Amino acid sequence: MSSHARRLLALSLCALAACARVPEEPPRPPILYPPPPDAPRVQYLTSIRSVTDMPRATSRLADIVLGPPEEGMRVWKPYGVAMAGTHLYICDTIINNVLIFDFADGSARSLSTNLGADVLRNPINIAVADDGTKYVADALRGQVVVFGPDDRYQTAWGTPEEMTPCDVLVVGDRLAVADLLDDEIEIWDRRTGERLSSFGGPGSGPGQFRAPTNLALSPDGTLCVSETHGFRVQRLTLEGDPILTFGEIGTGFGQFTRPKGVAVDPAGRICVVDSAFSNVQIFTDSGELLMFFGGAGPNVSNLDLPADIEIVTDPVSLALFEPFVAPGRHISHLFLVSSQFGVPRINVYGFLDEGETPTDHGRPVP
Amino acid sequence: MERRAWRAPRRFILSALTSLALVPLTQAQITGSAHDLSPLDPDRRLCIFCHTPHGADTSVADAPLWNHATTNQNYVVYDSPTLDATVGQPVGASRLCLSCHDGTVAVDAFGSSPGSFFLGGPGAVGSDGLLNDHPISFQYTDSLAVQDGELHPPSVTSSLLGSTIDDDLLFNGSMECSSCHDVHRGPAAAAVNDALLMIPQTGSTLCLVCHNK
Repeated sequence: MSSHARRLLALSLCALAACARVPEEPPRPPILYPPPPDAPRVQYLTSIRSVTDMPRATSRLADIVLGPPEEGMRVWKPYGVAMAGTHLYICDTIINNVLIFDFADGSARSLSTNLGADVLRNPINIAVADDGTKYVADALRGQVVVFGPDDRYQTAWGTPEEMTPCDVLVVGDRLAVADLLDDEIEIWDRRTGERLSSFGGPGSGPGQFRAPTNLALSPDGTLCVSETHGFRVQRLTLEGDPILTFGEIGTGFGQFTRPKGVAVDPAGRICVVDSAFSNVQIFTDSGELLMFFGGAGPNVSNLDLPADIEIVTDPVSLALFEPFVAPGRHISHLFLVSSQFGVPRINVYGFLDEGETPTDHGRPVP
Repeated sequence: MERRAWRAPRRFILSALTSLALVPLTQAQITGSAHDLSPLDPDRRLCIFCHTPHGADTSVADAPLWNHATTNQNYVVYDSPTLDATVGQPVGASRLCLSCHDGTVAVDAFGSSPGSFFLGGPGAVGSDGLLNDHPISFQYTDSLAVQDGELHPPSVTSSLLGSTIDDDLLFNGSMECSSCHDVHRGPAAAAVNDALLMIPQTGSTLCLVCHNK
């Protein structure tokens, strides 16, 4: 062997050794909102397109035996998101199915088998009850489609002639359903699908709606409704009595252009997605703007035509995202926000519970 | 830079090596799908139409333990003034698809039975052969993409299924029926619910994976 060939061999062996050990990436500074000098309240944690975007919760023995998990199932155009334990549910309006990512074992599957009655035609939002029953608002079917705790199709309620359901919310033994056809909220028995009451109707007065696209439940049991065409958010009792109305059309702070997803955190703060601003605005329980996060931009921490927001407080879910939390910080709940355009994804942000009272431009933050 | 954030978590090299040796288990859902032919079998068997545990056709190398009669048709293949690829007679697994889908071999022609149920209508390619169908069984290479000018280079373009077009959609660099369709209705195809396609057609997503339009 010539010295040249020997050197080549030694070099290639070095290259092989270098391949075997992957150098650790240097830690990147956390992305925080609001930016300095304000005290940070929200941290961008990660983005999810496929189940393999998350580290596995369990050991990787299955990977070793069976090979790496399927990467084939990924998000195409997410609207509604929900999370229960280690399961992330994503309503996808391109493949018209609900994707289920199980971060415990790294598996991915779809809720509808697409064989028979369970075919979803336009699933917009999903609600997962404590007992594991899933309710999917399917706008084209004009139905709320019910899947059992075992993910099997159970039944479907409604007809396209009488409703265009856009969101569904579990409230104890009842369901609140946002109907875009009649601009109203319907209250159903969630065991039987029986319609108990409805309220709203088209209009811009208190208790009326213009395109009530998204629903959220407050800790005090009241309902928050975002009106995409009414450019406002209303808080109402389950009987339809209006308590609070805030927001108006505009591009200023606290105004709305295309309000969509809405969620209420454990302290009663109301978070509203605006798909025109590509951000999430956080308001007090009386509708006063506190801050916003996300925003349009080229980074994965930004949002791109966002639709739904889900607030997650389940410790099991929170634990999955702990590795992404900046050292020394603590999160009390997660925000999951879907982005429909660009790189379709679910962005995960954490609410930093620092136990301090930071100020927002000199004003105390509740 | 941003792409790095999307990279799948690093896996043990051992797992990568093991995956070469073992076929990863997938969740195929043939039952109830268009390829659930069990109603044609007295014993309601599912797999027997294509595979057998014993006495398989060893001349077929492109599918395991093959059991179905194979077609011996010569097809008129697709041609066009803008076509840069060299399209030959269908080979490999595509010929196995055509062993039902050309309409000359019965769907239930397996074992020693000639079968009696023939595909017709849109399910069979018909007398035109493959003249009016997207070409198959041609090498789709980076140089073809350069030559054509309106194709994405397969070795570096995402298939939208986790890896590149080359890795996920081509078979030894060749476009085949199974580049778009999953005969076993695997999880991706089951979620899409459209002609066993793994990538949705909405917004022509499927076409635009390869075609740079």
